[in-house]
Amino acid sequence: MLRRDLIDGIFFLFLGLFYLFSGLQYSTGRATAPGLGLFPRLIAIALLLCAVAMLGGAFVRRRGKKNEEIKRTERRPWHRFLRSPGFWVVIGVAGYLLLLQVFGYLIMTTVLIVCLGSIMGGGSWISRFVLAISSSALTYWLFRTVMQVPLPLGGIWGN
Amino acid sequence: MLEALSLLVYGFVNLLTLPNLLAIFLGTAVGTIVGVLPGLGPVATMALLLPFTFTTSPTVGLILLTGVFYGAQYGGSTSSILVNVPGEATSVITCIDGYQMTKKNRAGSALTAAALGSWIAGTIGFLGLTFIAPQLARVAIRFGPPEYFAISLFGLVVLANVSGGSSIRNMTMVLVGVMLATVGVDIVSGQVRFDYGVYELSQGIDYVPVLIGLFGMAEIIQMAITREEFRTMLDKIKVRDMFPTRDEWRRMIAPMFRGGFLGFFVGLLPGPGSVLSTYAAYAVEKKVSRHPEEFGHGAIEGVAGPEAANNSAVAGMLVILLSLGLPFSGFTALLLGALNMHAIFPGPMFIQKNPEIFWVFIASLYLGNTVLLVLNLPLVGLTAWFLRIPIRFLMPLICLLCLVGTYTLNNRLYDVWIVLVSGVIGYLMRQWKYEAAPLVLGMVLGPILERSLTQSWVIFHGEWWRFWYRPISGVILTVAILVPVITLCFRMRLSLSKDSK
Repeated sequence: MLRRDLIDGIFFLFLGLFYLFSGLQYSTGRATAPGLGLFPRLIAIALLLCAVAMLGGAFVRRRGKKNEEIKRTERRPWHRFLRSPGFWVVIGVAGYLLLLQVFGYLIMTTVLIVCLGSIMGGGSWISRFVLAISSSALTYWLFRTVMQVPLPLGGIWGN
Repeated sequence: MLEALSLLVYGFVNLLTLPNLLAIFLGTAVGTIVGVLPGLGPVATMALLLPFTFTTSPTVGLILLTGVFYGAQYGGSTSSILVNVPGEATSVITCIDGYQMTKKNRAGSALTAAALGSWIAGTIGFLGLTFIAPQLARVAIRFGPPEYFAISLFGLVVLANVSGGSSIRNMTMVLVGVMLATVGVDIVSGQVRFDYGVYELSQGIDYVPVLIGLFGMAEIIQMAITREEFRTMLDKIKVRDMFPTRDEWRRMIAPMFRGGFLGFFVGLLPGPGSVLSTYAAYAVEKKVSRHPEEFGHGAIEGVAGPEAANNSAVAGMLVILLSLGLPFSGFTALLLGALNMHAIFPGPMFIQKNPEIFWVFIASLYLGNTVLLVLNLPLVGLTAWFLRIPIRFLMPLICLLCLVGTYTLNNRLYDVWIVLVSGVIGYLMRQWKYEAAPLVLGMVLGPILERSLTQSWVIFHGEWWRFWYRPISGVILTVAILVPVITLCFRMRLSLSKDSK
């Protein structure tokens, strides 16, 4: 089984290489006139060195006495996240952002607060709706009227 | 010294306007509440309040945001002591002895030690800020691009080594942050880089949405998963129980002063000064105490010292920001952002050019410190009430504030998407034991690092060894190189001695 450092090291190695090759299109310039590419190239090299150090450390620990198995609970946080309420929070917020400009701030914020309240569990639907309507109205007033920030009103209503 | 005192009096006189006083009360109150409530954190809260500062003067904005941060240092101790859950990272150490005191029905004494210690040490720190910042600014006028490059690099390297966890991982996060900062318009040439044909990327990636995502949205995701409630752990606090015994008074006074001085100097260093200062103060108090065996079982010194240190560390961090213009923490990075939005740039000339901002701000720190003493002693029952709010109400509201607050920065949904993506990344980073602060600071210091390197490169005609021809940059760069080497040697030695046992 691969240790976390090994996976992370490979990831950052590829990230560093990607950044390095992306930066090749920019010139490093001359001594008296450094180009766009000088600083990114230095950062990419530093990142690659860190990735190599991470991989080196992972290989050394695999051979040494501290080669522990990753505990079951620490494995694959991605999988645990996808099965957790946190994932639905992310889906809820993503849906909010996608539909915000369609339905407008007031409606989508009410829906978002109700959804988040449902994900958290507990309490009644009435309390969730009361919280949702009051918080969306209050924040709308605060940002639109007091701070003069133009919040989306919803394209579906002709705005 | 007399000049500084007379300017401080000038600051107090000009502080007494309604907007300034409202900013003090609002900032400290919000900060205390944020500190009491585990979750959002003062830095993410400051980021959410950042849009409000657009409509205010720079002084009011600075007072408001700073009030939130050091208010949270006060408030964080309340939940640590009462329910053994640290409100902020700076209050983790307070849980150890503070909660033990609560179990012995000495919660009032612990809260008093924390609040009074914070006030005394805060005053010490602000005095240091008053007298040291102007002097440091006078010295820093002679700094050029090589010195700024050296200090920025030193800051990032030290940060990577002291942020907790693996130094290699922290350094990697710093570099990823610097990498993200190169996306968009190059500050030197004005040309676009790394946009890959995407219009939004050509605008760059702002560090504020990333910060809100990594600290705020990630915490919201965590709240949804753990759903921890605190109200069931809370007992009613009575004001008459707040008074410590004579022995407790005698034991807590010296740690408050020690914590004050220690915290200030730790705050001057790059990194999470307010967090590090608490660990350092606890270690010192345990070392010098006549009752070291009591530590971990309700020693009042273990509350007074760390809580004092985390407040005076705030002043140390402000010295570096206001006199050098360099933010070495998320807190000072946000203050820098707030000032930049008003086209004000902290640095060696800041105090000379903007005395009406600097001295009024300094005066506000003293007043705010006193306001916080009132909020956290006689009114602690009121602030602790916030712990009773069910999480199913808090989480959606905090999430909404994160999203809308971010939108108001630039009126674009792109920033809010960054918050969401950063939130997921921030949550996973926590699971994989990566620190978020180095990444954010890499994004903040990256442009400063690049600009100063480019300018130095031109000055030196590409002869990079000339950094060592200048004493200040040479010494700082040498230290920056030695820090990771010494840290690595120290860890290898520890590892070898453990293996031999």
